[in-house]
Amino acid sequence: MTADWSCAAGVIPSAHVLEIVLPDHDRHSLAGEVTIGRDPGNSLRLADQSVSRFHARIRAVNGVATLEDAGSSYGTWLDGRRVDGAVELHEGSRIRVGNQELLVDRQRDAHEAGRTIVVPPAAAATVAARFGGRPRVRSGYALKRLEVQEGDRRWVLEDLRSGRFVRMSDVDAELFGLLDGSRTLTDLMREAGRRHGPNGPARLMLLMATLGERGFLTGSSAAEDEAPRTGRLARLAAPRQVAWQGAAALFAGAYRHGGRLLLTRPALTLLAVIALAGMGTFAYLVAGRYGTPFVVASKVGLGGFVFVLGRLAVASVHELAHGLVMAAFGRRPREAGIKLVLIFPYVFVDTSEAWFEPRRRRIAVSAAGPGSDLCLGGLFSLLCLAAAPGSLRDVLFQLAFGAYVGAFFNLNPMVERDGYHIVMDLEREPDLRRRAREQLRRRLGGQRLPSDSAALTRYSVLALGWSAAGAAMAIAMSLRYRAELAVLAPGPVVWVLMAGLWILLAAPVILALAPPLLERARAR
Amino acid sequence: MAGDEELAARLAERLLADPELRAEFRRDPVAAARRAGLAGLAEELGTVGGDPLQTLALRESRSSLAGVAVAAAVEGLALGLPHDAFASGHARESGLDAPRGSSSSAAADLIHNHRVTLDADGIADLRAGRIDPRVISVLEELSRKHTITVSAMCSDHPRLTAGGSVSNHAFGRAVDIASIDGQPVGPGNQVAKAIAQKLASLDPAIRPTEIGSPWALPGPAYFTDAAHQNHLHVAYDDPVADGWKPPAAPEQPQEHAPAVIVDEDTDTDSDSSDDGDSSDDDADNDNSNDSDDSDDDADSDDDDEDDDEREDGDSGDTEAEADAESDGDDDDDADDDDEDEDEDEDEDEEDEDEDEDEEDEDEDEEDEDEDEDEDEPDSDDGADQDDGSDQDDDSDQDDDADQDNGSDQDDDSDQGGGSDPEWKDPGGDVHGYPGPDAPREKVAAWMAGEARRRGLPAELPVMAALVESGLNDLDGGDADSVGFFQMRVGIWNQGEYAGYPDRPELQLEWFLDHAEAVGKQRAARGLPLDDPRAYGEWIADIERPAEQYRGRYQLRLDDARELLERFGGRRPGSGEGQAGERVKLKLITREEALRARGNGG
Repeated sequence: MTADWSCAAGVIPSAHVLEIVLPDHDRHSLAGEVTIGRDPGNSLRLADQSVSRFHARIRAVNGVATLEDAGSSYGTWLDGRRVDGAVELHEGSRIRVGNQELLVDRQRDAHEAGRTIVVPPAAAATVAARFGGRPRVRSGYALKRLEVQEGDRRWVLEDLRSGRFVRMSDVDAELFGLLDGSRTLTDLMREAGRRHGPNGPARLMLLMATLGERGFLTGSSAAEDEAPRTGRLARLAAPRQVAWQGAAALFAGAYRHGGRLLLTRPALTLLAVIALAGMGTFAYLVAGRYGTPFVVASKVGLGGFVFVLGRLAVASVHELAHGLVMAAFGRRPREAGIKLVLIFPYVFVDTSEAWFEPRRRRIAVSAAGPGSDLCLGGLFSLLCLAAAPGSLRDVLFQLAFGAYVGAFFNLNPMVERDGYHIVMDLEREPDLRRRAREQLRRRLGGQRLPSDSAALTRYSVLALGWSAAGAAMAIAMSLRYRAELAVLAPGPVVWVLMAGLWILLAAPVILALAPPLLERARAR
Repeated sequence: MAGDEELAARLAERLLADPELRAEFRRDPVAAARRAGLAGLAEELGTVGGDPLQTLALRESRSSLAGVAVAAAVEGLALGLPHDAFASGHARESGLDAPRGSSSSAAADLIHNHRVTLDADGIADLRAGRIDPRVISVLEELSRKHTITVSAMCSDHPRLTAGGSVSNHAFGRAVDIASIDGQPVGPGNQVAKAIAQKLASLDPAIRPTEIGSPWALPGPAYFTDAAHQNHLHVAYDDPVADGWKPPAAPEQPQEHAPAVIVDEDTDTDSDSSDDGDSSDDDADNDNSNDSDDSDDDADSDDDDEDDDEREDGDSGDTEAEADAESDGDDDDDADDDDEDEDEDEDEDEEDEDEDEDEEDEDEDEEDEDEDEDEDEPDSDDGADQDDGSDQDDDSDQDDDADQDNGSDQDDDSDQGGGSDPEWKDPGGDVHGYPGPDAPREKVAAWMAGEARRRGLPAELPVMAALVESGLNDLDGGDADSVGFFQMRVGIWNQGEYAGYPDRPELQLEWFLDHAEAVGKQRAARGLPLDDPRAYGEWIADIERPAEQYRGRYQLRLDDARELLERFGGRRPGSGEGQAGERVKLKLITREEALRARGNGG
């Protein structure tokens, strides 16, 4: 049984024909009567001691497939229940015969998305074995074909060992499937040539070199990762993190127990209304002097403290929102937890698994976080407006302020945050940021180049727009609150606060622009 | 054309084997192909171009807690620094909670120890405090006499074993040693073999519980398989104890509380076995008229009393104790079958025992002198039970017991594999899942009880859970594996077992259902169901790990038994016995015994 899952063979493909997916991803169309068992006389033979000689039977008539036990000694199980009499099969059903699990799946057209194929990591010998002339993709990866709308490279491959994602084209995915250890290199070259014409072998060669480089092939050692930088700054900046394993279960549970109500159309509409109304309200609050940032009960220190606590709460909701939307799509965040960069704590959720989902869903996952910030900000603004003057109102103002600041920074397209992820998906360009930085560097370095692509241009405009908005916000805040803060805190403290705000806002821009400019200056 | 294919295949082979050539090829494939004499291929490469794999950014959502403006600065720094400084950090970190390692001075010392070669991942692990202090300590220890190359510790080892259970590496409790004194570990490396053997005799504080090597070495911790032919795998199954200290002095306090009681003087045991016949007769008499039996059978009275006092409330415990002891006795008497059966009957008649024990009490004090030379409570309890059952055969048992005590203790070092096939289930039962905070013994007893009720070996679920989860209701492992038995959520969280992640009873039910089913298959194939040496295989058939991990279950037989015995109340820490040395046993006062029992039970 070869794992030739990339091109489903069988009867004329049709969305109505069910297939049995064997544990090795081989597929078997269900038509007429299919018998399952260990005996060679079966139409589907499973060579496993735990499977009876004649174990189970499937009858497919008019697109309806029914499963029954054929007198097995150990029983046939469907979705965890023992089969007693004939039961109907549906897409996604799991059949258990002996110790073998078979999946029922619909036939998928070539333009549709496929199922995620997961090959869990097996034990790894730390010193790689020789591959013996028959290259084989090592275990520990997940592969999924996305819909044809995703563009040319619609196969997403996750390295389960390093957690990294790549994507590739149909042709490369097919070649990837050939690397199952059953063919010699010569056979592979010939097969690649047969399937993809004269440039088949060349593509295969490139693919193998790249896979080898990434440690995907058994026997080829991955290129060693660059040793961690030992500079003091780099060591300080290296993140330390505490990841929490229960997060995925928490998100799934939260989704089941009420979370899904939040993602229904009426609830989303309500949230959108709150978010919009809240933004207007907050602008009014700022203009109408309802509160001062970092000030609660006329104290700056207390205000700062409340602001930080509020950020913790808002950030937690932010990450929870990502998790909920992931759960709604049946994906589990790989990890979530708290991260410490320098001395600054972050909450984080790794939503990389979203790469396996179509574009719209990816955008939804990324947008959930800032969306929740905006909703919370709106809610707190409205409450603040309703509250009587006093400490409570100050606290609500800090919370709303914290939520909006969070949303603003998370939408920054220049750093790898939600905003960038959304832009990336909108533009269908996975490495916008790297390319943009490269182009910027080259331009600033003095080379005159036409823009790489329209997407890059749009990205630059967005980045500039964000920077402008940030600057505008900083100016507005400074003008608006300097006097008020000056009343509550000594002059130097206010100046430090303001200068800090400005420097920090400008830091990303400065750091992006400075190195290439310096280089250029040096070159002269 | 065929020649071209051959050439291309050869180039491909070199590409896979030679990282340098590969790097060159990746930089400029056309030139590399041309140099290899493949003009045609070079041309095609020119038309294909580009990297077939396009890297996708990690979609990690991060929100800063403290002032967001500050976070922006950090992001700014991230822009300035090469991306890898950040990416390599979070991409590789395992998702597990940072283990209770320490980025202590010991770790720093190890990093700077020139006799230990670590890779970048290893250094990062140590710095981050991901590595168990015992691992650090054992490496330091080994490096005193050898130079060592470490190939994997925590982050650079897959999180999961092939069986889907969480590897000790992931907890930072394991280390793979690739070479010793500059020689790669392999079946022919005698130094490595000697070191592997030495590991089992290390100080208990740093003695590994899992030693994988290319050799089939005797001992409970050892295992070997295809994946361990080129390195030594040294690991600890249990988390490091709170307040663990590296073994500074050669003599280190034992990990477990010292055994409550047991013989001081092994010589007398052999004596008593000589006397066996006569005592045997006596015992017979005693049994027939119980009222006077005490002289003879009350080999050790301290204990007798203890039992009596405790028995009121908790008959289960006594039963367990008695069994535990008889087990100890049986260690290497393969012929003791009869005896075992007798004991089974005895259990049923426990109530009678109790009555008789009370009668015994009076005489106990008189016997105290004799006790010093005698074996210990062990034989005592055994004898008590015999009385209860009033069967003539029982006298044999007394005898056996004595002899065993005389000669057995050395045998504790049996491999986990098949040590004492005649092990007696100590019984002891916990109805219903005792809760997440319950001691391990209690959880084990709960599993064992359920297994017994189905007629399955009590050790079976405990062994499985020890391997799969360290007997913890893990709420994760693999992305998908959960619970004591690391069942896959995607497969099992439906139908009959729906909701099992939150309901340990269902997990146990799942395991036992499958144990029964697999048991039937095994019976059909003519495999034994009652042979403890085959329990591991049986579990492997249920859990179905990768081939090379099938052997791991059997290794936990002794651990499982010890847990069950500990729940029973006896051998409150047979750690000493396991050391494979002759155990020094001492008499203790009644109060001490009571206290110890209190803890054990």
